[in-house]
Amino acid sequence: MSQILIPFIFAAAILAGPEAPEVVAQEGHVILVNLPDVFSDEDVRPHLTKGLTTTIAARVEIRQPGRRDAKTVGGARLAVRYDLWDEVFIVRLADASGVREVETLAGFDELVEWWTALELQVIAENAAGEARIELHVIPFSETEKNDAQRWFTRSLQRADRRDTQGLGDPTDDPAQTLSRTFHVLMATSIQRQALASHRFTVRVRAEP
Amino acid sequence: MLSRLSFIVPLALLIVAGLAFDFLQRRISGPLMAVNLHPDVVAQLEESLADQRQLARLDPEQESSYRERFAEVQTLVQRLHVLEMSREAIVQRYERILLGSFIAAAAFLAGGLAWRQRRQERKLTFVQSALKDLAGGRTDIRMSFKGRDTLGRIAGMIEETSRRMAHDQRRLRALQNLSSWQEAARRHAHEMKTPLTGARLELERLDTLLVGPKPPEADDIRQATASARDELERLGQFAKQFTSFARLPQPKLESQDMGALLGEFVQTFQEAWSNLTLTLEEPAEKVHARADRDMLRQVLVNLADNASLAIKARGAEPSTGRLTYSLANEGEMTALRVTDNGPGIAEDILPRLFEPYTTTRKVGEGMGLGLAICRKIALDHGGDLEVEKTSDDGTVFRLTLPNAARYDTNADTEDDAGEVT
Repeated sequence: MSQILIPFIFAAAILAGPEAPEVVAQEGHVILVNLPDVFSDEDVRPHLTKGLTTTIAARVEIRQPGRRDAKTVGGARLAVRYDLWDEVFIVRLADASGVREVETLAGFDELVEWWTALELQVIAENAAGEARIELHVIPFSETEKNDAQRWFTRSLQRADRRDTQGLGDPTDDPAQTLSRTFHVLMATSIQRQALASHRFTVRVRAEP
Repeated sequence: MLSRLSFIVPLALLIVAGLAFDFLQRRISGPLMAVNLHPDVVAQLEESLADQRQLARLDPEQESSYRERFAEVQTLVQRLHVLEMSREAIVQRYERILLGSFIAAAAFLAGGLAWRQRRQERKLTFVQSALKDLAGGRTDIRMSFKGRDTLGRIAGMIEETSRRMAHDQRRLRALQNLSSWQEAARRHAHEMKTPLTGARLELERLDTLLVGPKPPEADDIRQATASARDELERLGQFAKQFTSFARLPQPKLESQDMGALLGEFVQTFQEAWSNLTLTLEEPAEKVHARADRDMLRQVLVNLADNASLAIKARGAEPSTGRLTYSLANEGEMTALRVTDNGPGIAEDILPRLFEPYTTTRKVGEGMGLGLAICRKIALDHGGDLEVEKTSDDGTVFRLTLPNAARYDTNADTEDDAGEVT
């Protein structure tokens, strides 16, 4: 019997995902505590050490009970980059209290420990009610995306030039214009898609 | 044409699809291969990163240059990672562009073909209409399109045919005119020559009488002068006939009860032609036409004259000729049919029967103006005169005139309208 149940329990644990953070309203602002370990995800963990800037984007929406139109929205952003030379994690946090200093963490365990112990200020005012929390793990930064797009476009253009070498001024050639349009369309397909996303709904706990 | 199109369409679609695929494939495969995302490439680059660090440890003095190199390789590795993560999105975009291109190319092609087909159909309709006009004898056909394709060539041929027809008709008309004038000149000369010769001979005879050995008898002188006067009178009649054709007056149109008018005509002229019996078939209904009574009588007399002469020429027994008049309302027109039992009209003369100077009589027996005058009168009335039927058993002339009932109705309507305003 237990042999039959084990896979179900295991699957349920996987589907359940990380535990929800707590939302606490205190001293005129709302913070997230007991943040879930989003770094241990099987898609996220190997990605962290690739040298790209991984962003954890948190969005919180608090609706007052009984008032559907009254809501308070806030969020925070954590950028994690693994320095391949020094082999350390460099994190930069921007939350409702402003941009915090860069932290340097020695390894993955320290990162997880630092994150789960973090009090993430998401709203700079008091709020009560039901909180909807979204946590998205974005694999690379806007700057890295733009850089990759430019590089991809240049690669396509170089390939084109090799194809049409010595065939006259490319600016006069309608096929070249079509190619450039095609390059832009292809390059802009590189977008920042979340590696993992987590959604929670919890009640805001008020603390004096 | 359509069967050929149905073959061309899929073929063209295949060619366009192939070209589009080739175009896009060359522009995506090459670059993608150039930035090969094979894991070994990334692994090699990552190994290179480790090497740079190792080298920096071994040679601290050159650390900055190793770090620089490290940063370059790291950037490349990062780009490859970004590309690797976006691979699915890139492929999806590529497929969408490919599909979009195919759809656009197919739509463009289909649109082009539909436009071409519609254009061809329009041309075909135009050619059809032009051919109909050509068959109807129009000689001023101008085609709005010409070209090397089949329809263009046909259009060119139609225009050329029309031009040639116009040229031939002009030529024929000129020849006919010339021929008519020649015939007219011959007839005029003869018509004038005969009385002139007669008059000259009488004058010569008078001269002989006057200068002769014995004094002339008064009767002889009177006879010679009378004869010369007769000949000059004939010349005057000839000139008068000419004048009547040249100065044919406009008809004074009035509503005429055609049954009554013809009844009176038949009664009055029954004895006018010894070899003709005139008969009026009573119409089933009243027939009123707008006509000039005197001019209409002129037409009827002329037609009877012709019939009488034709029957006489056939050598028929006197009193065997018949001329029958029948009347009918035919919509906005009235029709008067004049049927004789003469020998009919020869086929070669039929097409120009109503042209001036057309006659079968011998020179000196008529100018051939009668039917031309009759038709002119009919046309001036707003009607026409034509040969409806001709054979060895006789000829039917159909004279149409405007139905007076129509004008009366219009007049009534106009009167009513006048009252309202």
